[in-house]
Amino acid sequence: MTSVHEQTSGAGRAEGSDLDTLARVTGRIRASIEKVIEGKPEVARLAIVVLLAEGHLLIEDVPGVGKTMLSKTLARSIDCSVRRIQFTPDLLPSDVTGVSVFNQDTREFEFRPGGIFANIVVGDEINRASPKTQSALLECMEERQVTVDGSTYHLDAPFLVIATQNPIEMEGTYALPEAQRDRFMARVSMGYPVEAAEIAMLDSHTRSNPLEDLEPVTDAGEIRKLIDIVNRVHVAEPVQRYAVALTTATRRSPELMLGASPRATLHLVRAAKAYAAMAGRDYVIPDDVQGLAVQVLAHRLLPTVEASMSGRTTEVALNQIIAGVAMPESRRG
Amino acid sequence: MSKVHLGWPGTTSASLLAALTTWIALWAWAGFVERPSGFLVPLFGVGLLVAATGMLLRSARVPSLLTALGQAGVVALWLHHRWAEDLALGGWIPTDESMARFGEVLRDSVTAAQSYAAPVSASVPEIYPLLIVTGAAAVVLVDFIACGLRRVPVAGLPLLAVYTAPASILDGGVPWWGFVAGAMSFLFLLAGDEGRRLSHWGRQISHSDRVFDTLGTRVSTETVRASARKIGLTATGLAVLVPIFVPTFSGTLFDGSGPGGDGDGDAVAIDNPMADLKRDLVRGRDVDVLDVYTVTGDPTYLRVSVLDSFDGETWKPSDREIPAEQRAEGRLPRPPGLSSGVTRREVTFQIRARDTFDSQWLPAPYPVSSIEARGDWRYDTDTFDFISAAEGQSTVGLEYDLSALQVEALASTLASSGPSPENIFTPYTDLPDNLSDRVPRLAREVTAGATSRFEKAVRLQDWFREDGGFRYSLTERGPGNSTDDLLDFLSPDGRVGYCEQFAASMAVMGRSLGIPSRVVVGFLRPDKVEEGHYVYSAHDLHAWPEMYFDGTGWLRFEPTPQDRARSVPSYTNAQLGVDPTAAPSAAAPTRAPDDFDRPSPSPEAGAAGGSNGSGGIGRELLTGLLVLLGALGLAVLPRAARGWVRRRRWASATTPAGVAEAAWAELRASALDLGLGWDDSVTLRTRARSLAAAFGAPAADAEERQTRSPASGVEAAPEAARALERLVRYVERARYARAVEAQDGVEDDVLLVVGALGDGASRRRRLRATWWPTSLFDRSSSRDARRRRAASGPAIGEPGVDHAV
Repeated sequence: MTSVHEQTSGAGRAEGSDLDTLARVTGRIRASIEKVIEGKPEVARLAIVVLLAEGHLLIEDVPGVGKTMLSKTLARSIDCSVRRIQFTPDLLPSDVTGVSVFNQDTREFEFRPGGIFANIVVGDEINRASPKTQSALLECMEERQVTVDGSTYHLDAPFLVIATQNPIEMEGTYALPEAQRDRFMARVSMGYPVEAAEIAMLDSHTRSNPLEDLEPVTDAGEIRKLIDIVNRVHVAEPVQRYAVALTTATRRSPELMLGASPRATLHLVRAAKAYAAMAGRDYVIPDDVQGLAVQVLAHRLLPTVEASMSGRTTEVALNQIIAGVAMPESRRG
Repeated sequence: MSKVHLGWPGTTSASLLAALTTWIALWAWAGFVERPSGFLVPLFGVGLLVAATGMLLRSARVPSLLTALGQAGVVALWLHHRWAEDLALGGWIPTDESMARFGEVLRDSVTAAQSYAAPVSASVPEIYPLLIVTGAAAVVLVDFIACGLRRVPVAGLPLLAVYTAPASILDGGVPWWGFVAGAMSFLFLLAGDEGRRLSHWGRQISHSDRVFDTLGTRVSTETVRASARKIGLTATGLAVLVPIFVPTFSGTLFDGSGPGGDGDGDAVAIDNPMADLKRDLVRGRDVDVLDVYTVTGDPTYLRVSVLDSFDGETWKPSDREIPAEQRAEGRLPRPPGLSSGVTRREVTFQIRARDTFDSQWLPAPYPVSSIEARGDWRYDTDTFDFISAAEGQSTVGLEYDLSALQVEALASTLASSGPSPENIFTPYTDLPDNLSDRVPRLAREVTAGATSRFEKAVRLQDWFREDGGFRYSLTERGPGNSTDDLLDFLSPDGRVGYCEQFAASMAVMGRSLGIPSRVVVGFLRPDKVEEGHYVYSAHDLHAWPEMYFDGTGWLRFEPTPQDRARSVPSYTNAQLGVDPTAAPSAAAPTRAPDDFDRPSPSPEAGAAGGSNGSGGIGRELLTGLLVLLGALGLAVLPRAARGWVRRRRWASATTPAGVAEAAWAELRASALDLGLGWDDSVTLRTRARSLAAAFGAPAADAEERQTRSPASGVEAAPEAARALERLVRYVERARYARAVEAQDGVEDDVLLVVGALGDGASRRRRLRATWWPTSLFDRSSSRDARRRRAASGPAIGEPGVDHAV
């Protein structure tokens, strides 16, 4: 909370100075992440986009490429409460949400918060838990509140769940149901680092744990202000039409069994707003929407049997759809 | 593209072929003059010069417009050397005097063109410079379009204009072989160019042809070029053949030899002299009809028929009773009225009618003293004309010898001639009853103050030629010499016509003054082929009046203005009462033919010729030039239209958002012009990225580029890349932000980007963008976008996502 400009809230639009602040803060976070995760700037960027768009991030990849490291780095960079839940097959829903226990002293039930009560929750290997436990987490993500024994507890903002999962082919995993995947704003794959980045990693990670040297570069209050700035980014009517056209096209595609939901459209536009703000703009351009479409939509779609038999992934189908959807009429009304 | 050999014959053969094609096309102008070599030979030189200059300048990569200017300059220099060598510095460097001479030569040429009817005699060399300059302009224009702009099909327009000029003037049009030769040459030119275009169509599937060379990616274009040739030949063949079978086509292209022709060919037939006169005068293609051989005689004014009877409707030969003893064999009696005291000289003629001349009348000078003609030809003792007395007999191929008298008529004698004898006076002063009084009154007015009948006759002649304000025109008056036509012709507003009206009117007015008069149809003056050999052609047909003066007999006069008939008989020129010895040369009633051929066209004559639009070929050349200019205008029209669209686009953009859209639209149009394509369905930035990939370094850095900087892409033109980025952001703000503020230098940025795009495009593309901007016609991109939208479903009617957000 070092240098936050006074916000001119109520004006309903993001000012240039706000955007400067946003760019500065997000730049610091990215720099911080890159100290630990080398050579993956686009992943870091997407993580911040999801944070500012008030979504949740699903990181999917094979073990050992830095999924957990990324979530922990992001959490460490922001001075806020962080919890990590290691999902295992025997994890119970109450471990996530919390449980009411009887206090012998006061002779009352008192609520003991679960792992979900934090600004940033790292759900590690989420697909190793039973569907019941997964559901408990996902309800919290959507509602941003926890109801236990009739009492409702609100979660603090910002609230970001970064879940990691292994590809479903891995042993001992439960696939996330599509309804639950839909609650994640974006999915990202880490991918293997390039050679140079891997060498640099060997250098830095063998000397000491870089996470331990990491200092927070911002705090929860500032992030809340940034979220407010993002909310005020303008989305012109043609851009809205374009986003809707994209999701509509996924519903009509013969290659997809399940298209994108209206929630997906919502997530897409919100993510585009965050992306635009990070690019220093107070308006969204179609490129923002287009650039985020794969990350935001792909994990929600189900290919048809024919498509999956012929080895066509949803990403390929989605890229085709994006190429086929024309820009909305360019003229302003 | 660079790896594929496309069979374009290269600029060398293309330049030569273009020049050759134009030169062959210019053969169509051969009908304008009697000796086409006078302009075709110099134009051949011009063609070589243009081709050589073009090759040289193009190999030095001089812009095509400058190349064309250079070619024109070189040609002008050469012509200047030809025409004003003696006045130029060292024969070549223009001086004030030489330039004045140059201009004078051209002016004379224009005047000559306006004064003479096609075909202009070989003895009027003044005509050639105009033809040479016009032809040279065509050569340069065709070279510019075909080789400079590489728009070979468009080069057909000026070539067509070259063909159109004679086709519209000369009845015969363009000889078919001339057209076919030009078309063939043009086809070869096209074949080189079209071969390349056809290669886009794909190759003909063939089992025997090896499609790919073993050496690499060289695609064999032989089959492609063969296709091009086949298509071209078929098209040309159809163009030549189809019209023959279309009933409306006159068949002049084949001179009657085609199935659509009328079989009449080139023959000149004279049955009714007056009626045939005009037809032969205006016939497009002149034909030679008579050869006259005489060493001592004057071959001008060869009479065919005498029209001695005027019935109020027309002048015609009277019914003649010609007994068998008046056969054209041996000596003839003395001509009427010629007294023995008049000096005369007998000269001999040998006349040969060509197969093209089909007449019932035998052409002969006046008066014939003796004649030997095969067949049954008889003469009339009054009129001294010869008419066929046998059924089916005509002059076709006839050869005959005759002697004629050259009478030395003296003005002084004529002025004092006595009254005409009754047998002459009565029939030759007869006028129809319905003749208006205005004619005799006008005749008296014109001749007021003249003391003798001869003087009156001379006054009449001068009035028609000079004082009366008459103009000569074959086109502005139809045939006819009835009393009504006469009145109209004599009225102050109607004083335009050709020899028929002049001769008939003077004869009628003469008769009204009591001078025995008649009209003669014959040939005016021949072309001298060699010493003693003259040739008459159909265009030489003429009509003139003869008047009778006792003691000398019938004398011809020349009322037709000098546009057509250069001079008047010498006796009408002489001052009355002057010493007879002062009259020009011996016995000749007129001057030698060569004197006729040396006109001294006055500016008035030129102006008259120009304004009445007849006779001269100046107007036709002017038409040709206009057509050429029109073709040029058509060629620059797309460019002008594109400029207009550009200016309008900027001018109509008033709001900042409007300016942004105008800039983007202009960028789009420019990219389309350069053939870069444009997809409206992608985002602005995607579009900009592919545009930037097409950037090229400025031409000035071309050499540097080869060694250091990349040939294309953003690095080639960083300035333009920045400008493009500014533009994209501006347009994005205009489209997607809440509000947009005006941005400076938008137009400059567009220019910068378009410039970089041009640098990145091939020379051909740049030329096409300038001269054939496809953005004017292109709607495909937006159609594409619409189609794609349609495929991706209807537009969503109610957004509202923002509210949900």
